[in-house]
Amino acid sequence: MERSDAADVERTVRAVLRDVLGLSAERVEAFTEATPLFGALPELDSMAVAGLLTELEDRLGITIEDDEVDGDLLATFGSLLEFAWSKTLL
Amino acid sequence: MNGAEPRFASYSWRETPQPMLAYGPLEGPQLLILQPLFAEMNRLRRLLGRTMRLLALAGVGSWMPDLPGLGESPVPLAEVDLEGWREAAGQAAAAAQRMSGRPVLVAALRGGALLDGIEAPAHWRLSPLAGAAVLRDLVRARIASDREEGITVTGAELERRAAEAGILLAGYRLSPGLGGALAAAAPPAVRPLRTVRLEGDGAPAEAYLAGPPLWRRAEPGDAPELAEALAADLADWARAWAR
Repeated sequence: MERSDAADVERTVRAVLRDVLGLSAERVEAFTEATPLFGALPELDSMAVAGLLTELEDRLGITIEDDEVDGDLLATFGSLLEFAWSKTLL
Repeated sequence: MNGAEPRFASYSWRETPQPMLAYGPLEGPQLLILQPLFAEMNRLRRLLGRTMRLLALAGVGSWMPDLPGLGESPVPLAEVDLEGWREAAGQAAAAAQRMSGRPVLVAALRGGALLDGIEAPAHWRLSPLAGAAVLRDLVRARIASDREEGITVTGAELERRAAEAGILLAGYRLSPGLGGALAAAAPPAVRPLRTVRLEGDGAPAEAYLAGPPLWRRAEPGDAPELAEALAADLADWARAWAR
């Protein structure tokens, strides 16, 4: 994909959460960096984690390695966003 | 015949009847619909049912086989390999052609495109992907569920096991001839081909439709507007090739 800025990446991450987990746009727009994800959203089970990572790879044009995926990555919306930024903007 | 009601047809694969859902008139353009594979198949079932009803109302007949080992098929998945699936797709196309008496066009969705090496007047694909990506999704789900049980395993290790001995991934028991072959499989090169994707997808395509990637949804969802967009694109394309 084209070089993207932080706001583009954030929009993409929100869109992926909405599309993969089937959440309403309003609900995802209200997420802040402190919003907990894994363990807090019943929609986010292990099958959904797989879909989420794959869709992020596709839409951000990145590759996510197995060892980058741990409990911390999906702890909060902020941690997921930090990860997406680190993969796309550096 | 009310074309908007489903019919329960079948095709034969290695002497076993396999279920095939059919909608629409037996005159006019006829479509073979190759569903996505594994969990994505379940997630798109409702969307495809809607799409087939809309196609029927537009005068297009459609046929959607369940692959051996998936859906309502009586065959255990562990007995199926990739070649078997490709053969089944070809048998389903031949059966649809026999029952309608007309040439059958092929519309494949996602991983279903891996099975479309069928001889047909034209081919249509929605967001096709490589077999490695199909396998990777299954492997990831297994890694995530293993982790919940405190087991650490790498994707490379699981993929090696899939190729050597068969493996249980995300609830699907894959034969070595399926897991191993998927890793190397690509959608066959066919012509003429129309590729369609969803808006926001950067990969090349002839058209981009608006709608959510329901195949990623953890819970099966519904998107009536996407069914309408798919049916409209398919009907126009099918009419152009059926003349």
